Amino acid sequence: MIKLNNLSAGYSKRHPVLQKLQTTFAQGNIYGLLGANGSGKTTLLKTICGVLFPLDGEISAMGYTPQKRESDFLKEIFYIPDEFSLPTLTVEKYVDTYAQFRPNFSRQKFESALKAMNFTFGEHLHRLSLGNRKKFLISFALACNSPLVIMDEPTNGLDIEAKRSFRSLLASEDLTNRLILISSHAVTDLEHILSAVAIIHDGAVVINSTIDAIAANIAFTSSTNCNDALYTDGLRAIVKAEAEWSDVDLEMLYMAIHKSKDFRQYVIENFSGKESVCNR
Amino acid sequence: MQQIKLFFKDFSRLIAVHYRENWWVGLFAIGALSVVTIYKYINIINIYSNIGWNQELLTLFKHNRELCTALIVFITAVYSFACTLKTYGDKERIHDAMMLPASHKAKFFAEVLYSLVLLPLVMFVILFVTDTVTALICQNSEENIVLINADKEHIYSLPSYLYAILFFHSITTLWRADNSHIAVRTVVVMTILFLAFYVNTPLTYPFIWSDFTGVTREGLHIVFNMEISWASSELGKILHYLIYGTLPIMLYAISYYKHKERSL
Repeated sequence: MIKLNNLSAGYSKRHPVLQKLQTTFAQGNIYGLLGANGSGKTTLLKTICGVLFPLDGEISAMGYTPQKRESDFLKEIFYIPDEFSLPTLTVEKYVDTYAQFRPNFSRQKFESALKAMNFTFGEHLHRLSLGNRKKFLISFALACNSPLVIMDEPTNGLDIEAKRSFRSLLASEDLTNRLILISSHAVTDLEHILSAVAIIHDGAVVINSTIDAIAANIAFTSSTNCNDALYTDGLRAIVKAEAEWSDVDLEMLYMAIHKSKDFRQYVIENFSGKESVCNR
Repeated sequence: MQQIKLFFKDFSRLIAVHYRENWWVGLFAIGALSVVTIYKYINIINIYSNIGWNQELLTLFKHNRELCTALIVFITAVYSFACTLKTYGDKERIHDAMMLPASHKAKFFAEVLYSLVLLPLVMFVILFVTDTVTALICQNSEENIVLINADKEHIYSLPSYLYAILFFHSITTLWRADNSHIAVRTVVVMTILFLAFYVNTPLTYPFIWSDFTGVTREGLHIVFNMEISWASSELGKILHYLIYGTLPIMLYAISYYKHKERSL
């Protein structure tokens, strides 16, 4: 669905944020795009949307070239930026105005999503708090039923209850021929809803794999009596999955990739080129 | 056919989006112009009722028209800038326009229509109505009405004012679209064109070119041909039409950069 071919992206050719990315994001998944602050998550998302132009290489999203921003492409994508404001309109007027641009918009889905997120009605949108603005746009994005939904830090500003609702809304999404790509540095907000994960480190995608494939290759266990750990933080360890099967601890995986060069090397050797397994 | 249908669908939706969000700005602009125009013309009517018709009143008429036309152009320019810059200055809303599922053409023509066509058109209608009503009230002879109506500065000035609007529009757009080098080139080229062709002189406007044939009151047939620049009358005409003809193309190029811009 999204194919990056030697993609370099950023704001300056001399200092690209991302260099020569070669990966794919397959449909049928909820992808978590993880990385440190300034690692290039937003840059990558903007490039996929066509808001930023690639500095080098190619990108294809659903068969379109994003930077052309063709009308048909824009109809199939919904992008929720990290920071945004909404126009001086009421909820009703916003829906009347903007939903007509979205061929698959479902008002019923929109209303139930707002209700699930405990959205406060009755105010003009531009006066809403950050959390309420997020609730509103997430609900609108999901109701548009776009094949490609891109969310940049969607849980920023959401309260605990709304985060739970967000997770259950995503879990109930029909992902047939669809892809939801979420960037976050709050790993715990996304745990248990992601079906695949991509982690950016030093301008490169170190791992891009389904959660199932990760669980089949490595296990997360207690560090006591663990001599052959690929990575350990003193309390827990990552080992090669042989007999053991454990839930994927995304936070630990993220830390291991960021802290340990050896683990990164192991991941690159064992996971790279296996993006095709992301196809459900 | 399908493409044209889609274009008009997108176009009308974009116009609706604009007016739903910005109706009050247009209304404020029209209101401001109406207040000034009516105030100025009431002044004329007052003078007329006190001292009657005279040359001074005719001059005042002309000045009022010039003032109101300048005001229309100023308001249009401000409105146009505001529309162009609306999403540029606001990082949080830039994605709205960029990611709105509509074609570039529809986005461009919608922007041109609501900022450069509809608003000035409405304002000129207001000016014409006020003008005609005042002229009717102040008339004391058919001759004066003929004189007043012959002084259509607001029409004569349109091309140069439009040129000025587009001039600033293009600079701002290009600059904000991270194409400052193109903006600088545009400024230089447009300034040269402006100086070379005296676009602010009514006689050089392509729409009222100074070639004139007619019959005087005395029944003489005359052909009036005024040389106004180094170019011959015909070449001048062609060049002017070229300049004005390229304006929409230029605006289209600007729009291309705007709607295809990178992130700010």
